[in-house]
Amino acid sequence: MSGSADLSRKLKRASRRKQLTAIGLLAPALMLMVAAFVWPIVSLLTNSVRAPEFATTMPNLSAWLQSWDGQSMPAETAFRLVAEEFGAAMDAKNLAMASTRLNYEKGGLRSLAMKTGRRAKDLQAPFAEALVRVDPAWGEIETWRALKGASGVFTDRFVLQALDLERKPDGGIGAVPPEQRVYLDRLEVTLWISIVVTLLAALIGYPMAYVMAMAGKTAGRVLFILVLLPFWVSLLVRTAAWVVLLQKEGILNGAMLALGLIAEPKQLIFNRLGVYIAMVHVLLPFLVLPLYSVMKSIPRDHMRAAASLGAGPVSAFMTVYFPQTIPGLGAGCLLVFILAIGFYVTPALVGGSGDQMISGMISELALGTANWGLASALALLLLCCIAIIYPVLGRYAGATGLKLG
Amino acid sequence: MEHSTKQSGAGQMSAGQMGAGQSMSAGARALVSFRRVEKTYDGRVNVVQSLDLDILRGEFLTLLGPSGSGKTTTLMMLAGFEVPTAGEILLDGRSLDSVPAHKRSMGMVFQNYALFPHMTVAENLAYPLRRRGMPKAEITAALLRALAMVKLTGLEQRYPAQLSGGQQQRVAVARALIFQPALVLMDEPLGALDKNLREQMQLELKHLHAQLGATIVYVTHDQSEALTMSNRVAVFHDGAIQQLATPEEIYERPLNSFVANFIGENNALPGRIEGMSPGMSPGLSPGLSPGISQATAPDVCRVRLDTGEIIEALRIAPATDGRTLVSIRPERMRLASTAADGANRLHATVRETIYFGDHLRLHAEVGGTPVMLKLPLAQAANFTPNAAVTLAVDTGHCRALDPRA
Repeated sequence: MSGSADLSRKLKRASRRKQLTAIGLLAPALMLMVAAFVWPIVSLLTNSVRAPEFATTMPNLSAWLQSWDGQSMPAETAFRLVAEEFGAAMDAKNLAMASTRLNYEKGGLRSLAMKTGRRAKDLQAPFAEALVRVDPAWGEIETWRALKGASGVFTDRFVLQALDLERKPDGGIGAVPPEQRVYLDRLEVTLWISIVVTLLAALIGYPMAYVMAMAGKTAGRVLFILVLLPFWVSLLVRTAAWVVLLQKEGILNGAMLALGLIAEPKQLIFNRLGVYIAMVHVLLPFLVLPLYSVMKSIPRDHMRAAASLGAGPVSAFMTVYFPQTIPGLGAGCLLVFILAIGFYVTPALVGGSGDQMISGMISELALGTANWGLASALALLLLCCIAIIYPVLGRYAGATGLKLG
Repeated sequence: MEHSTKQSGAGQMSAGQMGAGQSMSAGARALVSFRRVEKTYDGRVNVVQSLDLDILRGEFLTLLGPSGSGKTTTLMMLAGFEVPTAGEILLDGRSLDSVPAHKRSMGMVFQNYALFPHMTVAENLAYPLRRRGMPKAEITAALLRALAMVKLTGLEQRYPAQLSGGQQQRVAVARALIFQPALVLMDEPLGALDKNLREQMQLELKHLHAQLGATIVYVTHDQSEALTMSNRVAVFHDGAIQQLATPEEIYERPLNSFVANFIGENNALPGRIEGMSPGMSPGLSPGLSPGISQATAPDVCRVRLDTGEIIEALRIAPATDGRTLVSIRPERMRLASTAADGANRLHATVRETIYFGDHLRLHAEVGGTPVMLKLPLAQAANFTPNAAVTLAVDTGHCRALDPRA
């Protein structure tokens, strides 16, 4: 009895040691994952709902604004807090950040805030009149409502904005005026381009992978290199090459003109067509490679068996070969779609003004105007799209082990 | 009047068949005929060279040979997966030249089964029936019969990956038989099974053949498999049939050194033919295999072995220069019991003995040539290495063959 207890204790100790070793071996990779992947993504996405710049810079004013009903003009206390805290923020050099946050709520508030901050020290009570003298905007309730909007640590305005929605003065959610609608339209373009690119890549890539899988050793190797060739050239160079080929005075137009196929040069680039061509070219390997590896694993005997059982070539392909390639096709389409949805350099370089994709806007908002809140909200939107599409395509890809994750 | 017309018609047909180079009886019984069929892949070496072969209706014919001997290529040409470079293959007297594989209606069992992994057992089995447009009710009935035949009832909803190797094998066999083809081709179907299962499946295939009466062409490199199951065995080597005969004939009366060595175990003693033995009649020789009548019995010749000893052997196919290898099966040699025992006596030196459970193997040397004897355990005396022994063997079991073939 005691012997068996002893044995099980030994077993436990041995298996614990094994576990610790495994964890120890995994630790560096895990730490890298967290530091370089999980943490940045989480903190970035947090930005889409968390914008505390104003609230932390002006804690007392924010507290007062939070309790204000937003219906009647604020009392003198609020004006005094503005004068005190704008001045203090000016001294602490925090005003610029807070005023940027204010500007997202209402255009023009940045200059108002900076102006107020510069003159805050000289203001005397009664502060209401003094501030209106600095800028008449302080006498308007809209200004105060905007301040109230920025006073919380958390906000839904970026997420709403990404969906072309806004908070109405009554607190309800409604669509923004038509002339301000931007992002849903971009999302639609992004999804549409990604779907078309995925379908085109599948149509071109499937026969290509098939030929590669069926080819002999030497021919297979040559084809493989051709497929991987786009990876050897930088994205910018590849895209520039497409410009050279497809522009109005480009090689393709020149050749078609010389052959008399067209009467005048066709617009092949700087429009949607150019985006499709360049993106399919870049993304094709991601479809071909998983498909190829699945096709390579299908024994040649399967088609022969189908023939021996009475299936003609087309019937054998549709009933025996194609169903077995669906996992590879699913994995390839998933890869291409996820990569396509995040494209922005290629559409920016070879697309027209209507072909800019959401990632391009994210990049512009984050790097150009430093609107991290909206950029994060749009990124969140993209992530949600992928989260919806992933399980659908992923189910087909699942059987191969090529599923990403 | 009418009767005689019919007869003359039949006569013409027979004459036509005889014109094709076949005897009347073989032409009538042959289901498949290879006529001077050749196959080359590289244009230099013939993988199959000028093959003439009649496969009789209802027989179990095994194509046996080492890898690269042309047996699989022969089967693939019959199945329609390879095209002969020259010659033609006839099925029921009609050329198969322009008949694609899926219209040949031959059942085929592949080396790795080639079961369709995305289909259940039932779907795999129904595949050939559905291709033939059989009504659903009939498919279900045929399915149940087939499952019962291979003892897999109850497993119809499993996928191939959920079956053991032996079960997959049975499904593959059932799928090749379910549409009742007149001809079933098997390409090393038992190669992937372990030894016990293989022996069990050999018997089952043999019984299925007896039960169904289909013609089976079976490719293997395993001689015991060939001997167990076949009505006739065609031994392939270097793209040509070396011998085509019943298993017993192949084993007991090999026509050349290759067959003697490839089938079973063989002792080959090099020597030179010195002349005929006119006084000796092989029919009187004890131990001559039964079934050979006096008229067809080969001549007996005297062979001077390279050791200097002279033995008498059946003159089967010595080389033109008189060089020969005398082939003797290990179980046909014995220790000479008396000074006059046996027609041929050989002086040998013991090397070692190996205990085999049901018999004892004695390895010895006859003038430098290793020989092996299978001795009954009753004779298992203590042999000391390097002891001199005298071996006896009857003339009827010594076959003088061409050393180069």
